[in-house]
Amino acid sequence: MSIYSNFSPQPPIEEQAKKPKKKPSPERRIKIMLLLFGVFALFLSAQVVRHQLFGSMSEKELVRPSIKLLPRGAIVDTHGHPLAIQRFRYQVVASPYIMGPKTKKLVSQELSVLLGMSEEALMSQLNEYDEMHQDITLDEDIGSETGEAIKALDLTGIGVYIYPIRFHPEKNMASHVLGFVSVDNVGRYGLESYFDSFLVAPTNKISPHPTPHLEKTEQGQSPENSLPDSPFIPSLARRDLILSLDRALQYVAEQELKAGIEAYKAENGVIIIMDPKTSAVLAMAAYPDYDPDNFSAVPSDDIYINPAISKIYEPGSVFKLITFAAALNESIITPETKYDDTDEFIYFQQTVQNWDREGRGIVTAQQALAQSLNVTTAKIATDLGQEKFYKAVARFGFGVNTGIDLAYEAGGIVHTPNKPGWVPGYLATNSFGQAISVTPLQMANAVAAIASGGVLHRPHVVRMVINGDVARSKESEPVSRAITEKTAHTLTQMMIAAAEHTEEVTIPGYAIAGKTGTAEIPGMGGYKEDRTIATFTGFFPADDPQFLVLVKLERPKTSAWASQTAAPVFRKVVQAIINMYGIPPDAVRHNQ
Amino acid sequence: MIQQNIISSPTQPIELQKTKIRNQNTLIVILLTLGVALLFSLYVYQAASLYSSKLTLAAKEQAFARTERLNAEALVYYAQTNSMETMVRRASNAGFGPAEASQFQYVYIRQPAVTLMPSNEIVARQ
Repeated sequence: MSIYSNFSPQPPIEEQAKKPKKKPSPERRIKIMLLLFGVFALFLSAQVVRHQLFGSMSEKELVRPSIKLLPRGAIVDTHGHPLAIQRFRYQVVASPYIMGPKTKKLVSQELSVLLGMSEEALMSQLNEYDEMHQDITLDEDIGSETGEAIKALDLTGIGVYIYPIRFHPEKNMASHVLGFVSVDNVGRYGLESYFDSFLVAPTNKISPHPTPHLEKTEQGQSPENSLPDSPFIPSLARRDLILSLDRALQYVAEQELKAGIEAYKAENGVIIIMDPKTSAVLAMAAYPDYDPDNFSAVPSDDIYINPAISKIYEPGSVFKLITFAAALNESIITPETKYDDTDEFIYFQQTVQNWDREGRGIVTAQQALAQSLNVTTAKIATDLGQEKFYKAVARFGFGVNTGIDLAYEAGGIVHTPNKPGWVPGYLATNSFGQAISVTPLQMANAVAAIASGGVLHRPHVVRMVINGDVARSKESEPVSRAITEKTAHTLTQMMIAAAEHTEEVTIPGYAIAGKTGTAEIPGMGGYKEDRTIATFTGFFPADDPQFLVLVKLERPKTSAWASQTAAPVFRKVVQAIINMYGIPPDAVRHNQ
Repeated sequence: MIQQNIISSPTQPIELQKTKIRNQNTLIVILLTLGVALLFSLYVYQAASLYSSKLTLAAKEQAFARTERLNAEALVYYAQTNSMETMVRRASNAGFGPAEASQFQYVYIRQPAVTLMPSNEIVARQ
């Protein structure tokens, strides 16, 4: 050891080993600081800036996506009885290729009782599909109780898939009005199509309020626009439709229509019941109908089409009401105006004859309507003139859509002067409902305008919409004044006389205003007498119209005439309504 | 020794300074490590509680969905048992049917006459 060794500040060798050999350079320090800062920045980015992205990623990884809540609102009748609601379909699927022999045995044992299959059959199915390396659907639609029980077992390789599907407790009832929901959850036809985007709930959020509150209107709340009482339960989607349809009336209309079609051997038919003062549709029946829960089981897609709003036809003599309304309104005629009802009337090469090809001689306008005389009606139309006639036709809403809240409405065909397809002779034929096409709804709504004192309303089937916590009442919408109140009153009296002329609709004690219509169906080779569309349209009580009923039967075989086919069906429907609503005879009402 | 002291005396403050700096660096590293550890533990805690909340939420959602399904099933059952077809069948089985017009009897009930009190009397009574 040198003498300088004592002066040296060198520590012992052990201490030297412990100490770092080299002091970190400033660059290294900066690097460490940058690294730490980077880590900190990553944490900051992950937790603060991009937390939503990572949150959703982790949710996908860790949490099974929750089943979407009932995605479609309910459709209920005016009293709250459900017509279209949601139910759940439980589908059981097995993946045998991920099951071991013990699991397969356990699955077979557990599921054989729940699915009502033998253990051996289940086992052989699992083995068969295991070889094919495929999934197997054990049951397409088991009940909720069984489905929940299988779900609770949590068996390996067994999946219970739950799908919300549409359910119609009344089966075929109002199928044309409701439409149906396809497997891809899209509304088809009727209300389901018209309100498709509305009925689907945008989020899974549940409203905290148990009962929707009624939105106040400028007119104020009235008993008519109140929410229905029990049994109405708003759906969790809170996108519900409360209809003006009354299921009891709908039931009556459908039963009577079916009975009428069978009795008179008709091919199909339509019944519409409306509140003539508001054009609210109370029942809309069409036959043949279909089961919306099993919509694919139809012989043809044509059955989905609602004939009450989508199929046009030549209305025949019911349309005389429009001609008479126009002529009365323009003071061209009064009920007492006399005409010479000749055997035939030729107007611009168009020959017009009565149904029996015989003239009645001198008749009043009142008699002409009651006896449904084509010749006199055509003469009245020519006296009225084409301009006034077609203006009246337009005011009654023909030739355009009525605007009803249903999908695929047709507007009808009205050829008007100076437009392609129109010939002057059409004025004569159009006057009694030939060479003009309308929908049953258009016809019913036009007659409703007469019943409501001359005001045409927009027909509707939805009376209230529930959107979230707000229940919005759909007010009746007047479209135009078709005729004056005085004309409406006069025409109503003439219609009462016309209905009295048809014995088949007479109900003792009740004044009914109505009109028959037998229209020949055009086809190859012109019109044929044995191919007809029979219609009866009327409203009652005539002095205070509460109900309007239109009955249309296509191609009845027992008789071609509306008075012998559509009229008796009309009478049965009216009688049922009188009984259901306890409407007293006119004399009793007037003494009240 | 004196000489030794003279020679070693100027090196001591440098060593002290170096030791101080080393200590400071160590402290900084420890503090940084602690800070990072704290952040990391906070992150882990947060992630764990988030995961736990999500599991709880998922369980609640599943329970809610199940309740909703049962509710829908109850509504379906209710609707089926109250459908027109069922009601009509039950009514006819019980011997009921649609009323006929002849079964109705209308009774006149006269409304009681209302006498309006003079306004001064109403005021007096108030």
